[in-house]
Amino acid sequence: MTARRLATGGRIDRDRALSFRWDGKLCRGYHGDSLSAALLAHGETVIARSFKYHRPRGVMSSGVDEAGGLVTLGYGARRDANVNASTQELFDGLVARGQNAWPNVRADVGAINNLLSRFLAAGFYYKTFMGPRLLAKPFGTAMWMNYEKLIRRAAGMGRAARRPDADGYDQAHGYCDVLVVGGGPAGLQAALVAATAGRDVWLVEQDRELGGDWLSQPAAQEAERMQLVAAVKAAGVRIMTRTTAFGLYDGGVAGLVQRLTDHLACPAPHQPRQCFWTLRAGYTILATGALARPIAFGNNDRPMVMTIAAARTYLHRYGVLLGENIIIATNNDSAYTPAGELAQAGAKVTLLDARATVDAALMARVAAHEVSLHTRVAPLNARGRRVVTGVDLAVAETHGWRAHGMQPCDLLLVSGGWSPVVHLLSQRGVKPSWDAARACFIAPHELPNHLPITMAGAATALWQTDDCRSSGQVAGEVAIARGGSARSAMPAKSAAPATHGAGAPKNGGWARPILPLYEVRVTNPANERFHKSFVDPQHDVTTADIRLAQREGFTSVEHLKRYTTLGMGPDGGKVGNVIGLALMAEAVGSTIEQVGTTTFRPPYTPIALGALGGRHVGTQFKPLRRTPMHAWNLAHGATMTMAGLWHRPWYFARAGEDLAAAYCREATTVRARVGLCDVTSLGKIAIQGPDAATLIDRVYSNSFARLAVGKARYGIMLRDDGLVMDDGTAWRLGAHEYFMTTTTVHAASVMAWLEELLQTRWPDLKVHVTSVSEQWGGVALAGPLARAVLAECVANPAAVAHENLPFMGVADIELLNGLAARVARISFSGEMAYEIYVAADYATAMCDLLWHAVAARDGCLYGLEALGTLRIEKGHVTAAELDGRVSIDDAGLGRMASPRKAFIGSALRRRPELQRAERACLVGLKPKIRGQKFNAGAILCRADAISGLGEGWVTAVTHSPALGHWIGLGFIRGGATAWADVRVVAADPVRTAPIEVEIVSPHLVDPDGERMHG
Amino acid sequence: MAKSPPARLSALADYEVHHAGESGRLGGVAAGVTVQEVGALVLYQVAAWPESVATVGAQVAQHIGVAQAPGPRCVVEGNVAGERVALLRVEPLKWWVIGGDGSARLPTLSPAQGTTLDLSHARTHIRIAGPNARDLLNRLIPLDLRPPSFPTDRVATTMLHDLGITLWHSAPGFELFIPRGFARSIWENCIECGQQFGLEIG
Amino acid sequence: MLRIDCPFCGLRDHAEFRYGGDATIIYPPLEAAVEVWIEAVFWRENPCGRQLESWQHVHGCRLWLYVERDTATHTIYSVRAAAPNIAALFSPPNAPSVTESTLPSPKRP
Repeated sequence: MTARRLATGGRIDRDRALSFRWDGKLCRGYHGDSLSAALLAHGETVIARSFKYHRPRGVMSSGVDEAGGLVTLGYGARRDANVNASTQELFDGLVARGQNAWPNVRADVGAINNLLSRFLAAGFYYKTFMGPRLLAKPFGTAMWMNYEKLIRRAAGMGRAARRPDADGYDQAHGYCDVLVVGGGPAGLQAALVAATAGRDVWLVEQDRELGGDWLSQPAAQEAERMQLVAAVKAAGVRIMTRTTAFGLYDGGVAGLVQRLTDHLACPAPHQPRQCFWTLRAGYTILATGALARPIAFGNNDRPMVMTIAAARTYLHRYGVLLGENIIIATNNDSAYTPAGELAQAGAKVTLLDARATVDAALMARVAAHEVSLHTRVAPLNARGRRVVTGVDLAVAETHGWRAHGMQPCDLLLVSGGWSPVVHLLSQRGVKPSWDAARACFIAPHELPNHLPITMAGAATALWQTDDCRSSGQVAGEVAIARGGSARSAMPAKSAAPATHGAGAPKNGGWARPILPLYEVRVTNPANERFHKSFVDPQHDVTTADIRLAQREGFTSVEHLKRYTTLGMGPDGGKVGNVIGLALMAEAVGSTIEQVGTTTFRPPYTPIALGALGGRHVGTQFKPLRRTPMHAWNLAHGATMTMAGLWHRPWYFARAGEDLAAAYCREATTVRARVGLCDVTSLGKIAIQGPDAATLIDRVYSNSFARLAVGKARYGIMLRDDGLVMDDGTAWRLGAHEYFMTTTTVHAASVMAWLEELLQTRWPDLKVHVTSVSEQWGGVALAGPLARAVLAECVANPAAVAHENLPFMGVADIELLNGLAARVARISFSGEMAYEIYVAADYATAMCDLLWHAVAARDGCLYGLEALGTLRIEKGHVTAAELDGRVSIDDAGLGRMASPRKAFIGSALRRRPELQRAERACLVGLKPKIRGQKFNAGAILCRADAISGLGEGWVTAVTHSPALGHWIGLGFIRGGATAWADVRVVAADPVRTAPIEVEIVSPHLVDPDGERMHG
Repeated sequence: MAKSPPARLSALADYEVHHAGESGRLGGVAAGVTVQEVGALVLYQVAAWPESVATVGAQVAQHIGVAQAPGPRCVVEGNVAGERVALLRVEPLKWWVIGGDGSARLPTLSPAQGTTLDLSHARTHIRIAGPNARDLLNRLIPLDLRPPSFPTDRVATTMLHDLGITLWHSAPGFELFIPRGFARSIWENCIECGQQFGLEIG
Repeated sequence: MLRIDCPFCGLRDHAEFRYGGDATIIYPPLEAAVEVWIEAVFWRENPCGRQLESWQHVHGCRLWLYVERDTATHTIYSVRAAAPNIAALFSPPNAPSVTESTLPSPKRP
């Protein structure tokens, strides 16, 4: 192996040796190394196998555009696949493995795919969906589908960890005046200018160090870098290294991912792995640099074929000289300086320039280092099976290329030009435009006025460090002039649109223009067959695939992308997109300008899914809402369940009981004696003000005008469209004050609705609405003995006597323990019942008091399941029935729509659709054979026509202890009377056989309500 | 015979971590943040009508002995009968009166002037302080906490883990008013997230 | 992400807000005919460009707002409280009162 670590040089710390494992083998590197640098220094040339053909792959780059060196890092729950070896910092104890290969990347059985490549060309995946017609079922498509599974298993990247992510992730919010993305010469200068002018500046750099291209330059440039970095720090810029601005969004918002522990051997236990920042910036400067572009030619994916920029980085940053006998192929000036530097470091260097003429000064520069220069020559095929050993050359002719001999080498470096990183701007909807002179996509010179963004540096196709730094100066000044304050979102009306690139040097700063060259190819079909020429190495997309896509009609760039998967690998097309577009342009006889580019989308580089989840995982996935009696319920044996975000008691099992036994016992106890239930989760709204009565009367469908102080009423609210929004109660506490309860589910939406009405439609009404759901802890006390229990627990038992607290009466009553309680005689269960509320911090004290009296009467605590049973027996509706599609008549509550007043929804309630006689209406359901059970969610069908949407549906079922069999509620076309003599089944094809049901009135138990009025 | 009411039991009272950390530290060696529950919250809402904002504001201000009621997003502190009371302008037509005790806390308003409402049990009061308080808060809430944007005695209602909370930048630190039912969930979130800065539970 | 300059709270993320709908609709009186209500409830324009829409600052001051927004660029041109009598309290919009900053603020013990 010829790559070697030089004795001196580089930004590594030779005093801090690190050890790591590669495919189980102990290796060494230095602090400051990337994993790729350490592997190359070890002579590891093959470190991966390609996606589809399992071709040997090595390091191709030295940064985020790495297309070859994807590895698997770590193990167990922390196994991370497809990690970019070129950006992964080396740390002591790092464990990495090759992926997509068996038994390993050096001897991979899957390489057979390379020989089957005729069947794996672009679109092969779609074509397998269409099996050969010759074979009859099941051998046709089905067989091909099986084959496709095998292919799918063989093709791919690394395998994700099977266990839950062991790391934690943070999400954070940031605010700044000016965001500078990219810490190279342009970005540093821009940040310095803005910060010096007093702006609050964030500088975001994906690398661990600031400097950008300076980090890849010889040590002589270090002084300038350090001076500028020191100035930036002194100016108070907030510097975020190891942080990628992966997306730009509306309103000056940038998405950043900060890697906090990915470079650490032993992170602190509470340290999150990554932090996802949502940063709001007044102004954004994109100094995102440019990426080196390769050229397509035969076997251009061989290990030790890479970009010149990468070799330069390995030399100057990591002190690794990658070859002894180097061939450099270029079409532009940028190769000359590195060519001289590599020769100076001790390699034999041959420089091939595809152009006919070269600037004299450049020629002299490389000649001084004994670089042999050949013009009009380009690489045709790379030779060597597992690593490059030589290059077949081609010479430029008037039209195209002609094969022209071979030259041995141990490293082949390529520069096909540079691609400015316009990704983030493109994400904002700005189409990059093709600059033919500099052969790259750049941002349009004038950006839309509503975007507080400008570009600087190599991202604007400036190729010289000094020019980049100057453009950073200009960008910083633009940011200052355009406001750059995060405290205003309105577009600056007077400011001129941001422009950049004005007065840019010719050819981007090169002496001679670039020769547009994307592929080197001779017209010999055999050459193409045997020497695959890669456009997108990450997804194994070849030049032949691009042409195949064109022949098969996928000529639009968006179709090309999807058909060939060009640019759909982890690098997002950083390497291959421009070449692919150029080849498509050529194939259709058009230009790159006309072909255009696909839309860039976030993220710029891959980010961990964990970072997107942040702390919204596990028990914090959603905030848990607890009632004030939460601990009290648990201490008394509750099994909890979710009701929206609320945790509510589901049932209180006694020894030996399961859910079914517990809820049946609880429901039976309530009907026979007394039960106590936590109903805190009901929405509660304070409605106060001189016009409170007017508001109440307008929003409820039934009449509230004459509701006396000290009385409560059940009410239905409709939406504008005449459908039911919610049901609840309103308690009149005073002339100008009501206490409204809503269902648990609709508490928030009813609150917002009342506010909308008051603020947008009736601003003249003097009413305040305030949520008091959290202020009060509430219980329902229900059953024939409820009054006796309550009488025992209040300071003055007479206060709860029937004449003082009749059905629907409301009173403020002092409890025996001195608590002030708000009590209403309201029933949801159909029994005599009270809702009792006290201030939340006293709720457990109330429960203790009441439970003592309930238990003394052999009563029980009951949960949501028993509550459901009691209400289904009574035919009381909840959110399961009032699902937003149901009219007040459908729910059988038409009598609650007052004909004597106008209210919200009263007009559209009468629209023809809601008046159709055949609408589905609320009914009760009983199994024909009483011992049978049916399920909520079943579809009600005629017994002889079980199909489609049927005639109705089942919303709720329960076992009714009062009736001794299963019952349910549901909706069926025309209501109960329409189905008196028709056989109906609850069809439930995926769970049970159809169960025949009787369609009856929803009031299954105590239809006259004698029990609750008693 | 009626007795004096039992003691208040806050949303965090039955939660063991709340007390376990009193003498201990979680996370780093130095305490970057302290998180504590401020118990026995007394919080009343005073609401005016658009045309009575000025007069109600003046009445409340006079009641707590300050020259003027706070404007939007602002807080002033005064006292009633020797007890410190903070007045927070939390909504366009609403103030919160925090602290104090007894019936002298509020002025009497006629329905034509406005309304008052007891919300003392509707919120749980958590204080976050220390050199990294802003860092912790900005991992929880999307609010610009830079000193020029959110100086002392400013109040904001914003979003924490998808729910509305009120934040007052007081002299000791940041006072969070969390809807009571969510208090424990948010508390756990603060404790978990705060450990990276070194956390002390007050 | 949209950011909305709430007249009471200042500039906030749209996640704190809840979208209402077309704010140019004038809802008829409750007594109005079915046909009038159908027009108000079911018919909507879908403009590409400037649109007046309602939002509620549901995780903030709970104001209902009228927001003038460009549906193509997401540029927000103006924000005001929906209720005219509340909007009148905030002109110029979004200016925190100076009274408290000039006041000596007694600190809590």
